[in-house]
Amino acid sequence: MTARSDLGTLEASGLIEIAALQPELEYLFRHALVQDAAYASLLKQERRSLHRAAAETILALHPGRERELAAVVGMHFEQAGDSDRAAAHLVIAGEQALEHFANHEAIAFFTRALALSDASHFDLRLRAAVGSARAGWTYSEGATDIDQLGAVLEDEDRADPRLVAEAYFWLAFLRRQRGEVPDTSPSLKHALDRAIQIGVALNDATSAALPKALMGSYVAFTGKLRQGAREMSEALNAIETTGDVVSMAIVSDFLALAYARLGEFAAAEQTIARGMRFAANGDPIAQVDVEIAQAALDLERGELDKAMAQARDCAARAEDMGAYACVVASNVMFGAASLAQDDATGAKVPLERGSELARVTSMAPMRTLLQGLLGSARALLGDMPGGVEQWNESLAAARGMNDRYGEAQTLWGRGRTYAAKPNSDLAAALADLDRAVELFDEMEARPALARALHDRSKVLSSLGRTEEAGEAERRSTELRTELGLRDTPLA
Amino acid sequence: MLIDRGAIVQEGDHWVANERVASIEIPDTIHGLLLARIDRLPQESRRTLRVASVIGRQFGVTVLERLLEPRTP
Repeated sequence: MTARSDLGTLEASGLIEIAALQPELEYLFRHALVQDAAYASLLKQERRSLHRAAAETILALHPGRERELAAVVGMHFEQAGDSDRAAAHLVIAGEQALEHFANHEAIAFFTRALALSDASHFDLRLRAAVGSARAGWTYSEGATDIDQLGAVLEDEDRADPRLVAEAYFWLAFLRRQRGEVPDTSPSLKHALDRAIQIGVALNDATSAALPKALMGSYVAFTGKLRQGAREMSEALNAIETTGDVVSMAIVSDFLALAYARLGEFAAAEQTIARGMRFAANGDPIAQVDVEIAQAALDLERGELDKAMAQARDCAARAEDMGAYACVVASNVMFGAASLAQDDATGAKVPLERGSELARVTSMAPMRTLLQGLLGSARALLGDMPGGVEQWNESLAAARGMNDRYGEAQTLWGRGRTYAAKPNSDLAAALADLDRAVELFDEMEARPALARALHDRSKVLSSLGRTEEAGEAERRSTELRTELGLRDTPLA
Repeated sequence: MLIDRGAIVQEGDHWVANERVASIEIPDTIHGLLLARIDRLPQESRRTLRVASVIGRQFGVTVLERLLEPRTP
């Protein structure tokens, strides 16, 4: 008897059936229970030997296809109890899955690889931890990846410095993402410093520039928009030919946002176009990320309908992919554009969805804006206590993270809302708008400044302070004209 | 299982049990039923099925033949 005649017998008995004739003959168990029963009837030691033989045979039969077959080979070595070889193939399988944007599958491969690999396999464990962080940052709150990266970096002296630099960058990114700031988080500062030091020591432009870009985004976040934009722009130029497309798309996104807030719309457009080129070769999440920056630009320029349509489309696509960090950012843009059109009803549901997801993803850089906008929506819809609670949370979060732009936005939104209510508390509205104008002015956030000045002018006018109102309105109009803002000042 | 062992036979448009039914032990579970069915296969076919089960739900004949090679002259 040969294997083929046995297979004929098994097929005739109805246990298996032909699955493919080309490129090679393949059979399929007609029911998974048949496979389970046959598998269960083997002795454990025999199963392990056969799994090892299966892995080695697959590798021997298909030279040059190791990456493509890494998942199945890794599974066989894992079942064979050969943890070292299993981990090596599972890391390759994870990287392969990541290249094909199968992020959930990639995370599962990296997690198995980390569980199987011995602590002495430094580089392998670093690749798995970095891969898991890259695959998961937009889906999860990051604590597991931060722990994994921290654990594997304990042996950094024995690992490839390039991998160590990359691991420190991702550690810094995830810590920043969940709201830590270099001024108060020694762990974040250490991760950034080490990533830059190693990149410089290696004379590796990408390793050194990525953490600098992250630092630049933080500087912009704290209100030094122009300085942050310059640092991000320099970093982006340094990695343009060597960096990975996903990282470059993310940096482009942050940079475009900073330019848009400065009112440097042409520079923002160029940066978005550049980000689109990177993202076209990246994953669908990177593409959504850059389009969120486009919505932010439309919002700052006053093209509110366009911003809402773009943000709605981004949110829907991000929801489909489970990319929750992108849903949060999209919904912030949508909510801000809705409120700018005095549509609190339309803003509320997306903002509440964003708020819910922000707890899952720790999307800290958007948390202040989200809570502030939600506060305004609730207050405008008649729930003033709910609004006050959200505003207070927003301002506490902003001050805790040194988020000056977010603080100014929330004060402006609160001031606008106070002024819009019947029997409004104009003194409270003016205090908020005064501070918002001051903050926007300091950080050169000119589109927001133009709008806050207009609102301040209206409140001053209501208080009978006509001369000051005229001065604020004159400045607002000058800025609007200079920047070419396209939203009409509300009456 | 009952059909395989000739314990029930088709007569026209219906099935009829015969005296062999009494001597057949029915396994308690589907898993047991399948194991019993596998046990009744010729020895080499049984071995082929078991080795194939390690490769996966779907398996290529080339890999299977390599794993069975020590048996094949």
